[in-house]
Amino acid sequence: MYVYDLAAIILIGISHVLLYFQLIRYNRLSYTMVIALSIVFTILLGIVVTVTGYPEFNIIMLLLFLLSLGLMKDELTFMQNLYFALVSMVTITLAKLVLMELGMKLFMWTPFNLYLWTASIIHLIVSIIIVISIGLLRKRIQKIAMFIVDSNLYYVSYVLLAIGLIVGLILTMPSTNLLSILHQRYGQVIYITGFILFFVLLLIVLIGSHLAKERMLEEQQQHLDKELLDYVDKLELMHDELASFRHDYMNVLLTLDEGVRNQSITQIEQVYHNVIAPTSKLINNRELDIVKLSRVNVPEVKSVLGVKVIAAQQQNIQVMVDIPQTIEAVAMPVVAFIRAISILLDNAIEEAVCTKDKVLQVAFFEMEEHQYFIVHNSCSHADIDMQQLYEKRYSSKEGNRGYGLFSLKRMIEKTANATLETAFKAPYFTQTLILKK
Amino acid sequence: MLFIDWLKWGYSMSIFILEDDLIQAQHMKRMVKDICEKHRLPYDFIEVTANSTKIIEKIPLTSYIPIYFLDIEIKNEERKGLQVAQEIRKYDTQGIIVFVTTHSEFAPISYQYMVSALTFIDKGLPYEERYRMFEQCLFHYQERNMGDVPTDNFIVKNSSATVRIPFATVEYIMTDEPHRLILVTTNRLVNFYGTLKEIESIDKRLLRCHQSYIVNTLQISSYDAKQKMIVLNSGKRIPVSRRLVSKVRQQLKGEL
Repeated sequence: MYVYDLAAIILIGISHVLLYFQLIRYNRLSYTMVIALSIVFTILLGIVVTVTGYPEFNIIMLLLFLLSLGLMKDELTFMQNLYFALVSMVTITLAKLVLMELGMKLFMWTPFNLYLWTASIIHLIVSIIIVISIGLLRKRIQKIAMFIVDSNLYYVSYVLLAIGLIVGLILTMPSTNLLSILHQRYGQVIYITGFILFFVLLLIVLIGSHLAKERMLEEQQQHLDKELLDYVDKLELMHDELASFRHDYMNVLLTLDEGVRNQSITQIEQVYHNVIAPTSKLINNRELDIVKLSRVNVPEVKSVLGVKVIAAQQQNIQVMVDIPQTIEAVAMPVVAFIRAISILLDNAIEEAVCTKDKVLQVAFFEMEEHQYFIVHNSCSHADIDMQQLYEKRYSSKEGNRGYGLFSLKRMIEKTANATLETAFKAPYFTQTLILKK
Repeated sequence: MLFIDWLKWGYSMSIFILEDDLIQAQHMKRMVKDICEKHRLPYDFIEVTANSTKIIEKIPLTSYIPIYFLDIEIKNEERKGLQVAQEIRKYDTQGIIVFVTTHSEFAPISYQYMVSALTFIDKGLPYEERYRMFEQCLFHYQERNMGDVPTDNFIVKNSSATVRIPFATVEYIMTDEPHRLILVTTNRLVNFYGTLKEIESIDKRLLRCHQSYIVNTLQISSYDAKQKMIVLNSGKRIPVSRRLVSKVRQQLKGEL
C-alpha cells in the first residue's frame, strides 16, 4: 500500500459522491463540502474494511451511503435513488477496472522498468482521470441521466447495473464463503464479464446522449414553431383591428361632414358621443403593448415574455407591458432568470384569471445600479399568509402542486445579488425581483 | 385666528404644470387655483407651460418643496413627461411629482420607481373625482412642507442588495439560508442578501431576540413567558432564545 494508492482511493471516493450528486442533480452543497464528506467517508470505510476484514463492505456501505445522501433530495423516488447510486457505484468501479487494465497494457509497451509501485501510480492516474472527466462532463451527465430515466433504456440499464453490482462484489476479493468460492471458481470469467458490461453500459450512455440531443432539438423546434404561430396570430389580430378601425373612421368622417354642413351642433355632439368617444378604448388597447417587448435585447427573455403575455391575453386578461428603455443584459444567469420570471408570470396569470378585473402588469426596467422586474396582478384573496406562500407544498389552489414559489425562493437564495419583494395590498399582489448589477 | 394661520402658512408653494394642450392647461390651472383658495393654501406662483426648460429654469427660485403636475405625453412624444421628470429630479430630489395622463388605470410602474412619483391622475375621470385627486395631492404637499412627515426609513445597503422600507412597518428580520435574510413587514416580504449581524447595528430600536431573529421593538405587543415567544401587534409570534430571554425582558420593561 503506497501513498499513491491512498490518494487514488480517496479520489475514487470523491468521484463516486460527485457523480452521484450530478446524477440526482443536487447542487446545494459546495464542492469543498462534497470533497470533505467523501474524504471522511472513505477513511471511515477504510477503517471498517481493515478492522472487519470483509472487503465486500466497500461496495455495500458505499451503496448505503449514497442512498442516504439521496434522502437530501426530496423529489427523488426510492427506485430512482437506488438506480443512481448503482450507476455511480458500478460505472466507476468498472471504469476503474478497464482503465487499470488498459493502463498496465500500455505501460508494458513503454521501455520503462516495472517497479512494485508502478501499479499504484497507474491507479492514481486512473483515479485522477475519472475525477477530472466527471468534473468536465457534469452538465452532459445531468442531461443524459434525465433522459435515460424517462426512456426505455432505464429498465435495460437497471438490469445491467444489478449484474454489475454482483460482478463488482465478486471482484473485490471477498471473504464471505459463497462469494469467495465464486471468485475462485469463476474469477476470470467474471473479470471478462465486467469488461463487456462496461462497454455495453458505455454504449447505452452514448445512445442515450445521442437520443437526448435529438429530442432536445426537436423540442426546441416545436417551441420555436409555436412561438412563431402565436406571434403571427397576434399580428393578424392587430391587423384586423386596424382595418376595422379604418373602416369606422371613414364612416365617422362622413357623419361628421353631414353635421358640419347642416351646422347642427346636436348632430355633431351625437356623433361624438356615439361614435368617436368609444374609439378611445380602441386606441388605448393594450394589446399593442406587446410591441414593447422589442426593447428587450435578450432573445430568450423576450420570447418567454412574449409567450406569457400572449397566453394571458388569450385568457382575457388585460395585460400592460411596461418596458420604458432598452434592456441589453440580465444581471443574473439567463437560464435562472427565465425560470424565475416564468414562475412569477405563471402564478400571476393563474391568479388574475380568477379575478373580476383580470389585470396584469409587467414592468422590466433599470434604475441606477438595479434592474427591476415587477409583476403586478389582481388577486381574488382577501388575505394571504405571505410566509406560507413559500413553503414547499403550499399552493392556494387545489391539487398536488405548490413547488413553484418554493423553487423560486431557492433560486433567488442562490443568487447573491437578487432581492425578492412580495407585497400584498388588496386587491393587488405584487412581486418585485431586484437585481443589483 | 389669522395670526395662527399665518404661522401655519408661513411659506408659499410653488406649483408647476406641464401641459401642451392650451385648453387643458388652463382648465388645470383653474382647478388648482380653486382648490388653493377653498382651503386657503397660499402659493407663490402657478407656472403653466408647455415648455419643460421653463420649469427647470425656475426650480432655483422656489423656496419650499415644489409640486409638479406633468402630462406624460407631450407633443406626441410618449415619454416626454418622464424625461422631464428625470431632468427635474437632477435638480430637485424632494419635489412632489404627479403625472397627469390619459390612461392611469395602467400607470407605468417604472415611472413611479424612476422618479419616485407620488401618483397618477387620469384626465378621463369625471370632474369631481379629478378635483378630489388634485385636492389630495395638494394636501399631501402641504403636509410635506410643514414637516409633519419626517422620513424614517429602515435602510440596508450592501454589496448585493439595497432595501429601503418605512421603519414603522418593519416587523422582524429573520435568516433563512446562510447570508439570506427575510424582512417581514405588515404587508410585504423582502428576501435579500445580508447577515443579521449587519442589521443589528443599524438602529437601536431593533432587538436581537434569537439566533436567527431580529425584531422591531416598535411592533412588540407582549411577551409570552410560557412559550418564550414575543407577540407582535399583528399577532405574529417570534421565538426568543433562552440565552437572550433576560435581555428581551429588560428591553421590554424599558419599553412597556
